[in-house]
Amino acid sequence: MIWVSLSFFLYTSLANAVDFKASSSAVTRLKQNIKQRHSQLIPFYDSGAVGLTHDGQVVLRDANAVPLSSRQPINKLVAAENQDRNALYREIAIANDHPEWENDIRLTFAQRWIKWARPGWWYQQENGSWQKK
Amino acid sequence: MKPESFWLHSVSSFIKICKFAIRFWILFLVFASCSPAEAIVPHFSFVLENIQHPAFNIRSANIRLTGTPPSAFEINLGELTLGNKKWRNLHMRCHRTHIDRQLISCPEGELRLGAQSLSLTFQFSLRDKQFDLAIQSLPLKKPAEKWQLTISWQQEKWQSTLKIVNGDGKFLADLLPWEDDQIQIKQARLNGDIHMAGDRAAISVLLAQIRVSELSFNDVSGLHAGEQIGLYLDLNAHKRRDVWRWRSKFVWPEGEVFWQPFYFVGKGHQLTARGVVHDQHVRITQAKLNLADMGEADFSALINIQKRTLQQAKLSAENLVLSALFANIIRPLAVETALAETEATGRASITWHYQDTVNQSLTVDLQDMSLIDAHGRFAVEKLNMHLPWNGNESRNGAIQFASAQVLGISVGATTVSVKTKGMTVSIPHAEIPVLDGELQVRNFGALLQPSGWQWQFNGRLLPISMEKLTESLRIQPMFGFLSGTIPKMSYANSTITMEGELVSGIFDGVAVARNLVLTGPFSMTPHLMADVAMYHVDLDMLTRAYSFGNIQGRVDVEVNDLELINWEPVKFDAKLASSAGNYKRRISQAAVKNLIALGGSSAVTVVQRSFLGMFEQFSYAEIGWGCKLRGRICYMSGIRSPSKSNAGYVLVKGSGIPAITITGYNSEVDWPELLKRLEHAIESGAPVIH
Repeated sequence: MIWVSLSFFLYTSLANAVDFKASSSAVTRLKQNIKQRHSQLIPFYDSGAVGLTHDGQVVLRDANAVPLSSRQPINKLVAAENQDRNALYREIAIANDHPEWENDIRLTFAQRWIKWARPGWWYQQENGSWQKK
Repeated sequence: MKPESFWLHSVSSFIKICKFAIRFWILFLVFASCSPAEAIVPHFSFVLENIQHPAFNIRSANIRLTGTPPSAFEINLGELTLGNKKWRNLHMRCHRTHIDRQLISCPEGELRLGAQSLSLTFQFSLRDKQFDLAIQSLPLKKPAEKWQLTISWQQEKWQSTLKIVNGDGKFLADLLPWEDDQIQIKQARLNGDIHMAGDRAAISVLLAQIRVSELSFNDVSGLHAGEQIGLYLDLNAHKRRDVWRWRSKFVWPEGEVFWQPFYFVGKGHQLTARGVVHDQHVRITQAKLNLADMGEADFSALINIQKRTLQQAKLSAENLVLSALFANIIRPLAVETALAETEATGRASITWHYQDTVNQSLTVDLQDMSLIDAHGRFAVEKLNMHLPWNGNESRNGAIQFASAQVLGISVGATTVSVKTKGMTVSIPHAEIPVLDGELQVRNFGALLQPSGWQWQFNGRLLPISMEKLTESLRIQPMFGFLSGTIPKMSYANSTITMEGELVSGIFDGVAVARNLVLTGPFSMTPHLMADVAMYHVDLDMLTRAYSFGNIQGRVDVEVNDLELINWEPVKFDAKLASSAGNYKRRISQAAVKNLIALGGSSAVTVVQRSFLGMFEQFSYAEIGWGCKLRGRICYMSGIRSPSKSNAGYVLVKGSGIPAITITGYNSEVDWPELLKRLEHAIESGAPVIH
């Protein structure tokens, strides 16, 4: 229990310590990419085809909800989104001059993405199961 | 049981069931003839608790024949297992069964198979030696569905024909022994004939002409699915002395399929093949795959049925259309690489030989290929390539292209000889025109590792105009020439590393780049790390080039731990200082004003400011400037680091008459703001004094 509390304390301390607004041209560019792509992903979040994972990525969780001809484009969209998200976590860690924070930043972002998700969107819980918000 | 053996068992089982039926019939006739004439209702009931066979299992089978002719004939099965499919309470009833010594017929019957109800008629004639069976689904559908089976025999030989009219493919698929997580047929319509003939329990002829329409299928994940598919299959197979000889034609005219990561639309794609089946092996002796829009491929193969392995294959494809090949096959496979957003044109030819689970040889020829990245990161025009590869021996090939572009840098026409051996590709030497210079590559070697391609080379860079290079890279213009020796340039895990020094002549001085590491050159966020030093740079040339106001003198510049992300600096430790030696040291009034402007709150003394306008030029003894960039902040210093007591730092130390000393006071400057002021000073030719 002490260890759990200590871990939680360290985690929240880190979350507070990270400057999520820390910016560089790479961070700005990645945020723009993610913002532009978001509008294309919304219909797939709405239909439940794409869900938010607990490690800050997106995944095609139910391809049957997507018309056949759109399954390849959505695969590409998901791959591009994950590339940018992974790069964003890395770049924010670098902008904070702490590359080793990347994984913690990823987990914090994962919580934020889920928090900002609209009702009806699907997200992955810690145990890997899927939950509709 | 495996599906392929299931059907072999099923056919032989069917023969056995017929034999069983004949024996049962004889038994019944014996029973009927022995029954007392005064018996009111003839009644026969036969119960089997368990029938086991490799292809099927039956529990609680009850066969009943009741009443005077026409009798009612019934079969009830408590449970029938076929493969991994199981049905309970199967029921077949023939309401009026005509039975005599030559014939059993059922003109009106019903079969219940799971939830499916079927109407059934059959006739079993010993005189004609023929069995006819017709099945229709209930309730009757439009268009009418019908399955009609005819089996006839003469002594040991038999033949059968199944005619299908608007057959429900889903019903048939549900009978097949699928695994639960495999493809499920959602719907399909079947039309055609299947003809089989044989001797005793063995089949020796199989002919099938089947047209499938409205086929839809998917797996649970939806990563393998098809919709509204039309197909045509023509199969002709004959067996002689344990060897099956077959030929087939498969046409896909319509519908769409997504088979992760590929998406194809039926446009008349066609596969024709012929071969033999013998001793647990399928040999495809000759096959042709015609993919509409893409081209044709001829191939042959040997497959081990038992081990489900490909033992041998040869493929040859000529003049494949690269635009379709990229769109349909290469881009979906390369979704996480730089090729994911490329457009290609031209033609490709491929030959491939595979044997004993090993790739034996592969030759790729490209004709007039152009490859263009949608993000403008790279492009190549009129690429022609002959690249042969053999697993055991070395092969010689050639690559040539008319022009190319990498990160905005133009590359001229190039011809390169290539040697392949095992998993390595080597280029002994290559001369590649780059802008107005040339990259001379020596000892290039590439090796395919489990983590991806790795390569390295050494060579020389013959002088490239810095003006053209900076213009191509769209960065701050520089003048002079870039050249140097490259002791070793290597690539692994998306990272290019340069050992040694890249030397360039710049503003009559020398620039040296060391420890160059470039990560993710084609990613959205390329990282460059390097140490750069410039020696004896002529300030007169530099300041004239940028219209900054004239400074005469020489400086040495060191930029250590330089880190660029997305080609913009995020970190460096820079130091600029006057070079040692005797040379003219003068600074113009305009340059002084610009330096003051750049410093923001830099200052000259009040006395100096008062006579700044009186002289065009001033003498100085030393120039010094330092900047530690961390993120957006530049931590400034001058000739000497600022002391704690005095926050100012000297940028220009005056000497002689008239002399001027410039001191900076801002120790922390916003780097983008500093660049903006510099650009403004250069563009306007006049400083902005804050």
